[in-house]
Amino acid sequence: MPYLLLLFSLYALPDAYAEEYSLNIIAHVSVPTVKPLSIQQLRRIYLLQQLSWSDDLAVIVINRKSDSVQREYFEKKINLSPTKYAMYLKKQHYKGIPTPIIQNSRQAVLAFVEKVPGSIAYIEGLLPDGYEHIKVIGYLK
Amino acid sequence: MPLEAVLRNMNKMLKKNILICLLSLIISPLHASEYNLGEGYALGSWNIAGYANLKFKAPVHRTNAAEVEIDDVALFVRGNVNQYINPFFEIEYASQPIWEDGKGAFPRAGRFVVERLYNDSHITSQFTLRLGKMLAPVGEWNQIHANPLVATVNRPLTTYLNFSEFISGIAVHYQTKQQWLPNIKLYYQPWTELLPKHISSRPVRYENISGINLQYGDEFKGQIALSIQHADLTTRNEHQTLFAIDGMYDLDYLKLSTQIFYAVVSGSEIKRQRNDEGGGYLQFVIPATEQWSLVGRGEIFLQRDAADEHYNALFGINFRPQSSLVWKLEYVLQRGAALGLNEGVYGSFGVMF
Repeated sequence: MPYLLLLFSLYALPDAYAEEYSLNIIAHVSVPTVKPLSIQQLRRIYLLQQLSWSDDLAVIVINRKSDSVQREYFEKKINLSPTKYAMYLKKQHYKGIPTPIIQNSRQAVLAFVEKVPGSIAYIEGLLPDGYEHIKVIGYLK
Repeated sequence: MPLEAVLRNMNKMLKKNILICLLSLIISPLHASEYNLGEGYALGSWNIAGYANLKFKAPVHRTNAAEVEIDDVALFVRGNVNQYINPFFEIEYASQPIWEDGKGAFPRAGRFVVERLYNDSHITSQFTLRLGKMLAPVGEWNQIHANPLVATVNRPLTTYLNFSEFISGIAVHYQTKQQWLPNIKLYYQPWTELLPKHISSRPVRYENISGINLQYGDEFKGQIALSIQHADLTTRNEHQTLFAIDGMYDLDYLKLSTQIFYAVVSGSEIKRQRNDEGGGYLQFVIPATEQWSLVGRGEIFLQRDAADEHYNALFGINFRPQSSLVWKLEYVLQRGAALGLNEGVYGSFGVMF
């Protein structure tokens, strides 16, 4: 019985990790999305399997540093092993495919997406006011 | 002037121009963004990256000398200027011995090799037109063959022997949006190879090359590809058509990969023993920890000129302290026909920068 109680209490614990690091998926307003992006679409974009939004608008993928909490959470949510994903990106880089551009902070991500058409990224927390060229296209929790 | 002479002159001029362009790019006063090992320097729309590989070999049989060499130091530059201008260039300094048993230090010079020089034009969101010199899409290994990206010091013979690893011409890539359709690469090389490797490292040359590659999936879910390549050989009186299937499947505790091929050969080449050729390998990688992995591979190759089959088996370990750095140590067993992969101990240190 004590074991059952312990098991139940572990299961019932609030997911503090998820609460702290829930992410908004943001994109430049030029990105032609109507519905929220699915996990599958997001995974495909971050695996560089979708390289353009339309015939004349390339996908510009933004990522955070590999040791950041946000990236760790993002990769977990789209079901990518950090080690395998890092190797995968190096192979794509060698093949000549543009790999995600690394931005080191939330502010840097927002500043980049605000000015670069076709860019997509993720940020912790809500989209602040004052970014007229950014829209929220999905959510990870 | 005969076509061959024109191409030779073109190759010389291109080599000079490429070096000048590369030097001017390196010394240009552009500012790089923050640098992370393995991701290259981003300079606006350009990215400059590369890799280096130091290798040692200690063959069992005395007919092959022990050696420490710089296998290659490669630099690759990618530009993403607009929808139509996306150049890519890769040059490497290869096969520079540092020490060779019986000959001492630096017994000979290495060679510069232009591996890739092309431009991509994204015609639509799914079609890309590539013009220039590129890696032939025959198997995944040939397309990602840089040492830090692969599991072993030695390449399986199946991934490079007796087909054209490079295409100098035109290619069209179709990238599917549907899960059930393959990604397709079609290519054609009308003449001889642009800026070919030295004849001693690649004694067989090809022209009039055409091919197709159909690829399903990715390395996370499992990947399989079919490649077909037809070519005329310029250094032998032969024509060939190659069919290859390669794939990989990752079970987390075990990663399996393979490539098998069959080639039909025709023409009146007198060295040839048979009119077909075939082979393949099966490789496993077991990730023991985040940084250490065990690797094993077996390969068979029936070469067109050899009376006997070639067999090799390999066992090794890899230490990867981070994704851009790898130390490798392996033992290769070899039996049957000698096709350039000798029995012995091999090691390497590779870095992507």
